[in-house]
Amino acid sequence: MLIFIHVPRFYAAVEQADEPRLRDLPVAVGGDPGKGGSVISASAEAAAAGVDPGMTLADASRVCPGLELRATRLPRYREVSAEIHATLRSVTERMEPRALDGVYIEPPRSSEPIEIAAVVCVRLQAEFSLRAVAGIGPSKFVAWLAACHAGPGGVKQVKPPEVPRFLRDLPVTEIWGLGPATAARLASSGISTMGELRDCPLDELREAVGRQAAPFREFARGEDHEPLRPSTPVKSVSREKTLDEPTGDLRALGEHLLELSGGLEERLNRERRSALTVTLGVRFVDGDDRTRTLTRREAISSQNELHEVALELLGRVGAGERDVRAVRLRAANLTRAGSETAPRQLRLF
Amino acid sequence: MKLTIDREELLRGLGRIQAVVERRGALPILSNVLIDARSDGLAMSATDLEVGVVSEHAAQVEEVGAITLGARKLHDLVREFEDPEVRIRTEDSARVGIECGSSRIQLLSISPEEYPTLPSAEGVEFVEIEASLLGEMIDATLYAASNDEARYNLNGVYMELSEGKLVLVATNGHRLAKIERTPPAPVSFLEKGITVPRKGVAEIRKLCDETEGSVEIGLGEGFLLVRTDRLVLSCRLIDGDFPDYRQVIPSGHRIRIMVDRERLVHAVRRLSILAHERSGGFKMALEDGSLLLSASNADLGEGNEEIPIDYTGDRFETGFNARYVLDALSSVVAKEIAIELSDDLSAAKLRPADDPDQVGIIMPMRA
Repeated sequence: MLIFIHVPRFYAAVEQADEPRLRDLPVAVGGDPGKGGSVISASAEAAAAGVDPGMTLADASRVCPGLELRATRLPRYREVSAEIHATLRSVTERMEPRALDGVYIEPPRSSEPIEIAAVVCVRLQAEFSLRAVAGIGPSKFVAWLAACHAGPGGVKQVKPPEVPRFLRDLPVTEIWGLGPATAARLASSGISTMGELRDCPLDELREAVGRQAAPFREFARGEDHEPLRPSTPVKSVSREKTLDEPTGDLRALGEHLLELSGGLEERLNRERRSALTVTLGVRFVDGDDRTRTLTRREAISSQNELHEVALELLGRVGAGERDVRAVRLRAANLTRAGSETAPRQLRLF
Repeated sequence: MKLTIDREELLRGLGRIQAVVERRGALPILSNVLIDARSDGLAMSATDLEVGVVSEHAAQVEEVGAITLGARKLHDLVREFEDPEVRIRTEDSARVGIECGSSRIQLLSISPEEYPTLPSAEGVEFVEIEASLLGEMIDATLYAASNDEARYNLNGVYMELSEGKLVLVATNGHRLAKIERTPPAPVSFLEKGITVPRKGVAEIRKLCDETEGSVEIGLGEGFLLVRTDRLVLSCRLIDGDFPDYRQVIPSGHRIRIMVDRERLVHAVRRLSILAHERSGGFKMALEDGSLLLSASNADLGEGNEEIPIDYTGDRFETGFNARYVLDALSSVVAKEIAIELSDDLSAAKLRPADDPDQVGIIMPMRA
């Protein structure tokens, strides 16, 4: 069984989570209203007032007076998405993201999928203030559909014997890749639900929709053989900075490295990883690149520890000899931070 | 340069410097030994710029002069020579001839002028200290020094004079070892502490082993110098602040137990075989009358040890890295060890039952 975890209206939900004042208010996320920008994501409150994605922001403001407009912050949405993935990784490494707002996970065999799904939804609410829904099904398509029909904050499970009944009355437009033009052609053949599509002979279906007939019918039967393709856990993380003014001053470079170390710490914490290896790369003003690497016995993840290693490497990279244009800090050889199986050695200093 | 030297004497000198010469050869001259023939004998120098040794040896010098030769190869050759006398002479500016018995060997040499100048003992005030005492103090601490290059300020042994006592401390940030002893003469130049790198301390330790009676120690410009009648060892000091060790040594304790050292060593050694490979951790629990030790490893199995002790009170449980505990136990010779504990997140203090001036501090592991 697979679980599909989905945060509906993701961008708007992140804005509401980041700015608690916006909770329960109609929120739309999109481009610049002055330049004819359109709605990319609308909160449930905005949707209830008639705001739909695709609508211009000006129109949206008209249909929904008091609509809170927010500019799209893609880096932030990516960040939250990565944090959610990191949280899910504590449940299972078998996961595959679907866009920023959804992810498939394969629950451990010994577990009850519905319990896992419920726990995940509760954690996303508690840790990120995001209302997620979860669908459970024997395939990606069924799990995804189940999530779409789970209702807010809900979990819906469709067990294998229940699949035909679950799909029977759903509109064909919910099949992946089946757009309005195809739906119209099917409708003219008297097919508007998945049940009707499923029962239609393949030859007739081919006449209506061409060579996509077979895959559409498979979806309508709940036959989705696409396996879960687990995303590989992050192998290394890096941060780099091009200096506004090249410098050979070690103290100034140390300051830049402190900033990069802070960025690495944040990313490592998000991934719940610690690094054994740190690499410093510098680009000199003459275009020459130089890197130095240090592998420690114990994994580190804090800004101070990373900075300490970075400074050590800075001494080896010959940075004081010429002006440096760009610095790059990379943490690799990542281990799971705070793993339950390996007790953590406490420090004196 | 032309000289004749007793093979054993030459071998002893070359053997002494093998650990000092640079192995990786970033600077080829540092892989060489400088042999300086003077009218009164021969001086042999080796350095990796961190640690330097100059030793004096009896030799019959016919022509004074200096050469440098690859220290490792020369040592290997002399070891294989069979006759008691070795003759060394300069053949030309790039070659040195070595003869022993029927062996005639020519080795390529690097000009002695390229050889770095070693710190001089001139003007340095030396203080005598018993070699056995210094050796004992090093044994009690060196093991705890860090070899994590990123924490270079911990890559050595800290030495200072505190309230008239010579104090040696080493730590890797997780565990710490400290010993205090009263030196025969006050080592006043250590009032401001110094940190001597691991490699240098290991060489001092060897020197202490080789020396009967006393060695002399003195502080040069950025170097610690250790001198015997025929040898001067120089160790470049670590340029970094040693942390305030006093702050982390627990001043009190809630629980104190006495344990037979041998028995504890063997039990922890057995458990260390089973301990989790990465953390090397084992659990330690106290119950009425018992010290219970255990380790488990998902891939191997688990082990339990019980040692009877004089303890009454609540059950107390904590965990330690087995290596750290074994190192601390192995650095003392006492029959009985006192272990002082406060809670499962605070440092444990291990010390010989009869010696409050030697302590090992180990932070626990948190499950």
